[in-house]
Amino acid sequence: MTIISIITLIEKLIALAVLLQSIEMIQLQKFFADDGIWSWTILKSEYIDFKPIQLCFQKLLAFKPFLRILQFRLWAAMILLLLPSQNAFSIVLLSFLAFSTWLIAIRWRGTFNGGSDYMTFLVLMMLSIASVPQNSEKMIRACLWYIAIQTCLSIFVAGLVKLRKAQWRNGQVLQDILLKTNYSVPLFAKHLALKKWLCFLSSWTVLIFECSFPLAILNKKLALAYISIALLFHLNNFYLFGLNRFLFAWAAAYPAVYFCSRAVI
Amino acid sequence: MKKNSMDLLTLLKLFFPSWRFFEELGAIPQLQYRYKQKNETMGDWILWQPIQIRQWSHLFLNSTTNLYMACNSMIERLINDSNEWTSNNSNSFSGAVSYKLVEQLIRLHLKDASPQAQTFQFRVGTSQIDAVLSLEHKV
Repeated sequence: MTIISIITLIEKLIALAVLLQSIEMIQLQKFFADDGIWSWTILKSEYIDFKPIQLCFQKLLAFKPFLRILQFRLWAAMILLLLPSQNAFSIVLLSFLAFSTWLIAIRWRGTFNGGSDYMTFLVLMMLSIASVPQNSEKMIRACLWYIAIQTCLSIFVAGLVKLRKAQWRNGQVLQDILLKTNYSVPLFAKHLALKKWLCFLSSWTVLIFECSFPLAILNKKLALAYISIALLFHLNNFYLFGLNRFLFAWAAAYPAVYFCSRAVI
Repeated sequence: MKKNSMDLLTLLKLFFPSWRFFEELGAIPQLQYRYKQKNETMGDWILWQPIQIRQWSHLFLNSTTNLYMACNSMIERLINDSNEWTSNNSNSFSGAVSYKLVEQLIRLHLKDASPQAQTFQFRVGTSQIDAVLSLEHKV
C-alpha cells in the first residue's frame, strides 16, 4: 500500500468514527440542553478564569450553538467519508473535526468518552497536519509514525500498568470488573467470571497481548496478526461493557501501525 | 479552598492522552437518591442505575451506554472534588459544578421515573462510606 492509500484509509475510517459519534451526541441533546444535566447555565461558571476567551466559549458551548456545531460536525464527517481523499477541502474538514472534538471534550469537563476521545483527536490532528497542501512526504510519514507510536503506546501502557498490579496478575481485578462494576455485563460473561482459573487465564492473555503489542511495528505479518487480535479485543470489550467507540477510533489508527511496520523491515 | 472553575490542564486534557485503562478496581461509586411526595416523609434510598440493553446494532450507535458512562465519570468527579473541597460558610459544596450536575441528573431522573416527587436528596459514595450527602432540593 502506498502512503497516499494509507492516508486515505485512515481518513475514511476516522470520518466514519466521527460520523457515528456525532449521531450519538445529537441523540443525547436533551441531556446538554438548558434544562438538561450538562446545562450551560451550570457549566459556564467554570470558565470565569478564562476572561479573554470567555465570550468565545459562550458563543460556542451554549446549547444552541453547540448543537449547531455537532450538526456541522456530522455533515463534515459525511463529506469527508464520501469525497475523494486529499482534496482541497480535506484540511478544512479535518481541522474542523479536530476542533469540534476538543470542544466536546471541554463541554464535558475533560473528555466525554475518555480514551476514544483521545484517539479520535490524535488521528484528526495528525491527518490535519498531513493534509497541509504541498506537504513533503517526510512530513506525512512523520504524522503516520506519530499515530503508530501513540497507538502502540495506548495498548502497551495499558498493559504495563496492569502488569504491575498483583491483583491483575492473579485475575482478581478482571473478575471484579466483570462481576461488580456498573457496566451492564451480560449474564453469560458473569457466569464465566465466577471461574477463578478462567479469569486468571484471561488476565494473562490480556497482559501478554497488551505488553507485547509494540512488536507489531517490527514486521508486516506480525502487525496484521496483532491488529486482527486487537480488533477482536475491541469487539469483546463492546460485548462485555458496551464500549463501542473504541473499536472505530482505534480501527482508524491501526493502518498507521501497519504502514510503519512495513517501514522497519 | 478549591476554586469552582476549570483549570488550564483540564482545558487541554485532550492534548495529553492517558492510556491507563482498567488499571485497578477500587471501591465502586454509587449514587442513591430518595424523595418526598406531598404531605409525606422522605422515602427509602434508591440506587440510581438505569437499565442498559445490549444489542449488536449498538456497536454502531450506543448513546445510552455512552451517556451512562459519562454520568459515572461525573459521579466519580463529584467524589474527587468533594475530597479536595474545603468548605466554609460562604462557599458551600452545594455550589460546586460537580454537585449541581449530579443534582440535575437526579432531578431529571425523578421527572421521568417519579413525577409525583416534590423534593429529593441524594448521596454519593461507596459501599463503605458516604462521600457526599446532599441538601434537600426541589424537583
